[in-house]
Amino acid sequence: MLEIINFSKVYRNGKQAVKGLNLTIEEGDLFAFIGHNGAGKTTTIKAIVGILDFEEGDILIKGVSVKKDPIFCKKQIAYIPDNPDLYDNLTGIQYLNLIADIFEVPKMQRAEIITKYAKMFELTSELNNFISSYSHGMKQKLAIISAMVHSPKILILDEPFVGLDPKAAFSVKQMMKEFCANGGSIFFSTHILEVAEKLCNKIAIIKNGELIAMGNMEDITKDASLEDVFLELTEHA
Amino acid sequence: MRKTWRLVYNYLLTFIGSFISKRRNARFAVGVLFVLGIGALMVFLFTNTAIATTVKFAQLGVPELAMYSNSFMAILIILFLTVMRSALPAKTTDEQLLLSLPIKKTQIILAKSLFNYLFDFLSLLGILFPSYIVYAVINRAGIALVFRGLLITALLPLFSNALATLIAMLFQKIATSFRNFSLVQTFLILLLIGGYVLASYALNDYLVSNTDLNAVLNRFKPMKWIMTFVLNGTLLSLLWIALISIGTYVISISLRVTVFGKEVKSYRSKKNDLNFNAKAPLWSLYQKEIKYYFSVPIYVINTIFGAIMYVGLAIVLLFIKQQTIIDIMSSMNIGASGAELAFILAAGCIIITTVCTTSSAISLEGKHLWILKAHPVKVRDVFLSKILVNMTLTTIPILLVAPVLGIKYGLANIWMFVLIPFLASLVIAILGLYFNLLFPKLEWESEMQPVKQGLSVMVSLFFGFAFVILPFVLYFAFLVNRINYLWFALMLLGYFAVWVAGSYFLLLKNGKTQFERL
Repeated sequence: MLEIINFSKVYRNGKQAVKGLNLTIEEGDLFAFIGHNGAGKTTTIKAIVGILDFEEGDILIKGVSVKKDPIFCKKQIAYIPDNPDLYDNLTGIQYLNLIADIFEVPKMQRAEIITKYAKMFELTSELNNFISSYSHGMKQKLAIISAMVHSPKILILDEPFVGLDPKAAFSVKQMMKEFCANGGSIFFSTHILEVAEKLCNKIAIIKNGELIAMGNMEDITKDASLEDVFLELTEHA
Repeated sequence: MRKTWRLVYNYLLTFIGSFISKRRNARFAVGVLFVLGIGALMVFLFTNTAIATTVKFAQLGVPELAMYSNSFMAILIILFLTVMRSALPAKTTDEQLLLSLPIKKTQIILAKSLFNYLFDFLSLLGILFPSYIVYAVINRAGIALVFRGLLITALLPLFSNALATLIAMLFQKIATSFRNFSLVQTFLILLLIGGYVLASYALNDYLVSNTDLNAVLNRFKPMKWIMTFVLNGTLLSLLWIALISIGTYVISISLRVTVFGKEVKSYRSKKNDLNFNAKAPLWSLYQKEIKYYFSVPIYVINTIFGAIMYVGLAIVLLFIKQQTIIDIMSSMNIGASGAELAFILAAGCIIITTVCTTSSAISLEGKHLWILKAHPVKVRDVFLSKILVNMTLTTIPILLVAPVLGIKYGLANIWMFVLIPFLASLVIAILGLYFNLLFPKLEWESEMQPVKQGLSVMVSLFFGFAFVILPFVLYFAFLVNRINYLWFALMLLGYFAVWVAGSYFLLLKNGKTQFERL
């Protein structure tokens, strides 16, 4: 579904953010990507979704390179950033319609999906208001709804639980499980190790741009907690 | 006061940091030199004008008229600064941080205001202050006059800052009662600018038509105070100027302090039904662009006046006899038949190409750029949506004006009044976008930074002027008596068409790569 092959990224200021990263995310995988601040998580995510260009390595979505056919790849995925800056001068529904128009989602389908998720996140009554009046959590919820509007195959989430209230965080977790149970794949970064441990079947740990562990959750953690394993690996690797 | 100055220093550091933190390449250095060059040129031009005016009036034996002219300029500048500051209501990103620190609200507001004041003061120092130096040197008026001029230069921005704050607060109060509050705010600011233009004309008309200087000064006190203080050091005049400047400044600071940190009331929709209408991606992007354009007052102000002036030009031409234009051209030794049409086309093209929304359109995406980059939007559609906004603003006046000019200058010539300005505008729209891709300014706190201070905006403006004027200069210099104006119009059409094709190719080829690199 999603394959990262020997991906490296060096910024213009000379900083090597990621070095020779290899990852494979299969259908139905709920894949957590963890690491310290500045380890290279967001760089990797931004390269997958096409925000950041890169010279070395390749990223394939359904076997197609994001460099060669970015439009096809972007149609398969949905991305939710950690701090979504949305168009403040649009109303919530105008923003959702813009994203649905970009994905060419028919009217009936978008109405069904938006209604479902807006109800789930208790955002329906706010959708006719301007985004400028939304709180951080509401913007996050709106970004999640916009990500689901075209029924993507892969979800790429950067710190998806930041700013969400407990009920919304629970709904997002349920949505993620349901999404993967229906054959979708999720690749997300998080600092909340308990959530990653409970939710995910696969995990990758990155330190200073290099992968230091990757595999099934049980194989990585064994009898220890993910927190212990993470601290052990990042301090001694 | 120590904390206030520390905050001002902090804003200065942030301002300087925004220039030097990210870009250290040669292109950036060229950009900085370009901006500094423009600044130096402005100071040079204003100083030169001041020298010419002062020498002229000194020779006529009425040197005080030079001071009268300077005072008039000072009044116009403070009104202009007021209007510009009103169009840029203060946006803060550090409000919560500062409120959580042990600093008084008054100190915070004062620091923010002084930082703005600093820019206005420096502008006046370059524009107005040289005229006082010139006056003192030419008329041997002594150093005291220069110091008094400096004091006036320092006091006036306080008034413009204060008045702008009061106007902006009033506009915000009115606008937030409406659903599309940002559109209402833009409209109110356009009204304010219209008012400024009318007031400037009225003031100018009044001052020019009244030959009795004393009568004028007695009628229009602010000018009298400025003049009598700078010329004679009349303390009562200074008192009045200080009272008005500092008084309004204190009031504005107090009012800002009362609202600082308070939640801004925003309109809440009572509509419950949701509209799920589907549109083509390009159309949807275009609608987003149009909404954004009209919701940013400074963006509108900086770009729409060319369109308004284009209509104004048609109105003026409607009332001017064709023979008058022919006579003007004859006085320049241009007597060829139809050359007046080329003259009108030149004026029209120069005016319409000042409308360039695209030269800051990419920069204005700012933090939202991820939306366009992470979604399956064709880069071509992004470009077209931005070009279409520009063309909407120019095509409407072009289509309105063409029949009017056709009636006056021959219906058979309508095609040239439509196609030539349209193509000229299209070239600038495309190239403006390309320049913005070359010189993007994606990190900003206020829209003023990319719209007014962006390098791409300045490059587009200068390039646009040069590229439009070139064929007309060549025509009037070498071809006017050799070829029929119709042939020139056809050549012009070809010239712009080639530029459209070339620049569009450049945009899709290099511009696309630049966009992907952002």
